[in-house]
Amino acid sequence: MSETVPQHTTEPEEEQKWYSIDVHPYVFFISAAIILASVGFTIINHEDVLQLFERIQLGIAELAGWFLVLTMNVILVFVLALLVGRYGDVRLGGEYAEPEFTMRAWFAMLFSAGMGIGLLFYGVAEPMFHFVASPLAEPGTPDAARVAMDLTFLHWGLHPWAVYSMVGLSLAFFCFNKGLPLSIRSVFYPVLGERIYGPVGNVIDILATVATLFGVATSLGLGVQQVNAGLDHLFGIGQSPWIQVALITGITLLATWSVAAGLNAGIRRLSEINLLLAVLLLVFVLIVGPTLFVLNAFGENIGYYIQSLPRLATWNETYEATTWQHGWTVFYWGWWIAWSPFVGMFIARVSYGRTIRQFILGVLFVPTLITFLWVTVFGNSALNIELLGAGGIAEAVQENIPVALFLLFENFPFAEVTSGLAVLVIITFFVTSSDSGSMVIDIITAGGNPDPPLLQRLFWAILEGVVAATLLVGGGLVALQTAAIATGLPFAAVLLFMCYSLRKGLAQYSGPQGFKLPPYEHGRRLRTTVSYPTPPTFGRRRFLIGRKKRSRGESGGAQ
Amino acid sequence: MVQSAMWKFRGSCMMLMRREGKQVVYLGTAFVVHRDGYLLTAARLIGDGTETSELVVAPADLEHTFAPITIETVAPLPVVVAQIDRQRDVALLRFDPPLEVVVPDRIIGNPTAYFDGSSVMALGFSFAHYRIHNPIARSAVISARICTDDGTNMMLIDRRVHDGDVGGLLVCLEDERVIGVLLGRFDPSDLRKDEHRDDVQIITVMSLAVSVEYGAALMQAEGLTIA
Repeated sequence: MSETVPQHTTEPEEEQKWYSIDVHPYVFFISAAIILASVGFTIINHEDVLQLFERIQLGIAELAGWFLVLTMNVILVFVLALLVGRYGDVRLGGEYAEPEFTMRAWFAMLFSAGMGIGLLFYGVAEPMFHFVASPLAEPGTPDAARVAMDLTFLHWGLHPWAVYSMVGLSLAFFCFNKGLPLSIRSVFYPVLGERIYGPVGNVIDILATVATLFGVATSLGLGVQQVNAGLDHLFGIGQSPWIQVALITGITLLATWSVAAGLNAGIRRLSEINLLLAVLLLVFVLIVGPTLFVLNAFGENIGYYIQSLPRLATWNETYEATTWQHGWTVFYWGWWIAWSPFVGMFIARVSYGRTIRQFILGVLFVPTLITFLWVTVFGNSALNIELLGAGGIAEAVQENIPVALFLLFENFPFAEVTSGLAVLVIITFFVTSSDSGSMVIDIITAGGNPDPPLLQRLFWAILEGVVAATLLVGGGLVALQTAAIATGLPFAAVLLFMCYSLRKGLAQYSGPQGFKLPPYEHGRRLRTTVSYPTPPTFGRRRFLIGRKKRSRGESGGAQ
Repeated sequence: MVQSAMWKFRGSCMMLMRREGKQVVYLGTAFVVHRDGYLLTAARLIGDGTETSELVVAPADLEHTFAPITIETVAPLPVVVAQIDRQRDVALLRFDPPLEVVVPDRIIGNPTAYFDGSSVMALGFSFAHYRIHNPIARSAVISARICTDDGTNMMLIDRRVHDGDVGGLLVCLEDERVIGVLLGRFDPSDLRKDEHRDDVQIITVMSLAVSVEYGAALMQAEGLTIA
């Protein structure tokens, strides 16, 4: 006899064989076909494709930059309103749902999927870029350093995590609370109704699958070039496409193992190891670097960020008539938005059992704070060298971003240890981005099944590596990455639509609800009649019937 | 709170009837628990399965603020027994032909999550045997949660329900979820069959409901997701 009423669970209902197939036929095969065709076409025409998407991206930045800025701010305000509003107590998965993962594992997976590798390189590089070419201060001055940290915080802070929060929350709510598939299409149920299961829903999921795969695969391809540059700087192994293909192969094998092992055994463990290594690196750099300078800067950076957030978040270069934002703020907003289906889906998958308030606190504020700490430790250490030390980091950043990271370490004691640790962190960040990306694609192409069969998991994890390696050797990595980022603009409109849909879904969920029969064929109407309760109830009726029967000498006892 | 729960569940509550020629004979209450057209009721209302007449359900008149006492003719919906647990006295019915119903997001509660003394609402067609076809709500508290000798979890409430309420729903007012299926009035002697004396009549104003967890188990056995 069960003690509790069974609730919705994310566990598979029955054990699947490794060779089982559970695909959404349209989404799986059309997505795979589009991906393969696009890769082939891009390899043949990568210069033309690159030019086309660069023009599109430039056009987006010039004409629709204001829209991306507005969208990001609307989403941040929307998420903050959900945090303090009456829907905060809604638990993802129902009132009695219990979190699937511990807080530590949850944060580890959020952070590994959400930021990962980019932060490692840009934690040093971005403050340096803004320091030497500041749009709002005299370059190279202490004021420029302060503004540089402020702009970096803007690009990596609350705004991207608000987008991830909103997408993740929408997916988790509509899947765990409304019983819809864990798929992007489900988010539009309050607006599109049953049409999400038709061609419109298929198109949404196919676009999300293609954008996610290209986003992850091109990042993997471009990222290994940076890793190769870093390793060459450290160990002098040289730089060649074949070394990079070998790196992709290694990373893909690890990611494939992680995806095949499953969320709990593979991705969670790897994310925890990843975060542990990252914390070790952070603490090590904090201790061996300019500790006091960094600690002073941490509070000051956050304070300055809070003060200038409304001004910087709404800044559109209107009165300066410059184009600095095209390459930075607008680029970042497009990038985060383009990545949001992937990261949001992954966050949703691991957030079962959290309340909306816990979810937003966990996804919006904790990773933001960790990001700020990371950027402060690495960025301010580099700024310290530029402002008060030997310098040279800013110059190195202009030439080679990953090498700049290792040059920074060379300014501190135990450079070999920090560099070795950094290489390890870079690789594990790559693997965790790759495995979570594969998992998201698996889920979408399996029609929203949160635990797709093993064979499909292997297929997408390997395809991701193959696409990255093929584009690396054949050309077209930048072109397809630019194409993926260019999807940020249409998807920004989708995100606003998603806000409306989530608000509507939550209002329906929390508001008065009732049962309603659909219209049905009445057929013949039947007359009601007086009757008597044939099955006796517990209690007096049964007792009396039994007594009467017995008193008449009939067999006693009611049924 | 009762008002809100009544608003939520009044459309769920159906009159369970047996078709006999051109008439329908009222048996008890059943209530919708799943969007795919499934209802829960008390197994005792179903009979032993040898009956040849058709089981049907009919909704209450929800159109009028002051609904007529009697519905002279009904347009019944045929149902079949999908799952039944006679030991726990719970049955799962299914509309046949299938019918998709608009349902709230949260229906089934967790009877182990509440305390004795929690406020509840009992809902059923108390007097439909006598052609009074109005669903009737009563507020009560959970007086006790008991486990019978055969291991069945039940709830006692401090209100009398009537024969027509059997198969009706017991809703926790705190979260407006169903936590039990009404089985009728409570007589302690029913639970102590071996020991009670036939000449002692124990009249209580209390009623009995079986825990909805057995209904949930039937739903799971039918492959339904429980919301």
